Amino acid sequence: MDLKFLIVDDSLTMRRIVSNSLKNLGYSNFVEAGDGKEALDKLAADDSINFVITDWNMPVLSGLELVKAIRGDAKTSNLPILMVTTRGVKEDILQALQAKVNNYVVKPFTPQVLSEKIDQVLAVA
Amino acid sequence: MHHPTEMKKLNNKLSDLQDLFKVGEKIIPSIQKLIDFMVEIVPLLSNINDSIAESTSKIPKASDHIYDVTSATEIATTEILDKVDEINNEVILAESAYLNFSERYEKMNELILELKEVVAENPEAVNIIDKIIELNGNREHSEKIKGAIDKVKQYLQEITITLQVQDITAQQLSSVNHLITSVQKKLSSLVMEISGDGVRLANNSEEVIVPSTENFDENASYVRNDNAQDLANELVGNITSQEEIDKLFGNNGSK
Repeated sequence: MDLKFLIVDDSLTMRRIVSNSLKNLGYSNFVEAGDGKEALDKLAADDSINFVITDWNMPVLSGLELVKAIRGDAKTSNLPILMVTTRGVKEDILQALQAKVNNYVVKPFTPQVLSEKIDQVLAVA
Repeated sequence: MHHPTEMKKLNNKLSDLQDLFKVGEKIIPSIQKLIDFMVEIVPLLSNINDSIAESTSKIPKASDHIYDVTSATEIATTEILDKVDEINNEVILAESAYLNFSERYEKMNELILELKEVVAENPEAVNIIDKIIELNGNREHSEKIKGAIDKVKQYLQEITITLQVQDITAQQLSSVNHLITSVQKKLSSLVMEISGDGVRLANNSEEVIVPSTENFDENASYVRNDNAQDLANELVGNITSQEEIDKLFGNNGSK
C-alpha cells in the first residue's frame, strides 16, 4: 500500500518531528496542515491522502472536531486516523475513541511508539 | 375642647424631634468620620484605579512577549532539527560507506587466504601474507566504527524526542497567556472613569479577546508518562464498541 500521510499540528516543531520520524521509518510521502480546517481543505483537494496523523489542541478547528468531520463525510469516513496529543487522561482518550480515532499516541512519544501504532492501524485498515 | 389634645400632640412631636436631635448628635460624628474616610479613600481609590489601568495596559505587552518567546523557541528548534537532519544524512552516508568498506574488506580477506594457499610453497610469501592477515584481522576498529555510527543515530533520535519539549512548553505558555488575558479582561471591567461629573465604569473589557482553551492543553507536561500511553494502549485495545465507551464514561472520568 502506497501511503500518503497528512500530518496535522499547529506546532511547526511537531510537524517536523513527526515527518522526520516517518522518514526514518521509510515513509516519504506526506503533506502537512496547521489546523483542522486546513486539513479538511487538503483532504478535499487530494484524494491520494490515505492516513491522517493529527494533534488534538489546535486553533480554528481542533483535532477532535477534525476527526468527527472526517468520519461524518462518506468520502473520508474510512480514513485511518492516529491522534498524537499531550492529553493523556482517560476521559480524553475515551472522547477520542468515541469520535472514532483508530489509535492514540501520548506526547512526548518515541519513534518506536509511532511506528508501532501506525502498524497497528494499518493491520486492521 | 380640643386645645389640650393639640398641645399634647405638639408636645409629643417636640419630644420626637428632641429624640431625633439626640440620635443626630450621636450619628453626626459617625457621618463626619465617614466623610473624612471618603476624603481619604477617594484619592486612594483613584490611585488603585490608575494602577489597575496601568497594569491592564501592560498585559498586552506581556502577552506579546510570551508569543515572541514561543516563536523564538520554535525557530530555534526548527534550526536544531535542520542540523539534526543534516547530521542524520551524513551518518547515513557514513554508514553506507562503512558497509561498503566492510564488504570489500571481507572479500579482500578471503582473497588473501586464497593467495596464501597459492603461495604455500613459498615460506617468505606466506610469512608476508601472515603479517597482512594479522594486520587485517583486528576487527576491533571496525566494530568501534559501527558502534559509533549506531550511537550517533541513537543520540540524534533522542535529540528529536527531546525537542518535543518545545511544543509542550508552547502549550504551557499559551495557558499562561490565556490566564493573563483573562485577568486583563477582568481588570478592564473594573477600571473606572473618574471625572467631575462622577465615577463610572470604563467598560473596556469587550475589547479584550481571551484566546480559546481549545488551542492548548493546560495540563501538557514534558515528563514522559508511560502510564498515559499504557492507558491509551489498554483502552484502544479493549474497546471495540460504542456501548463499551459509554459504559466507561458512565463509570468515571479519569483513572
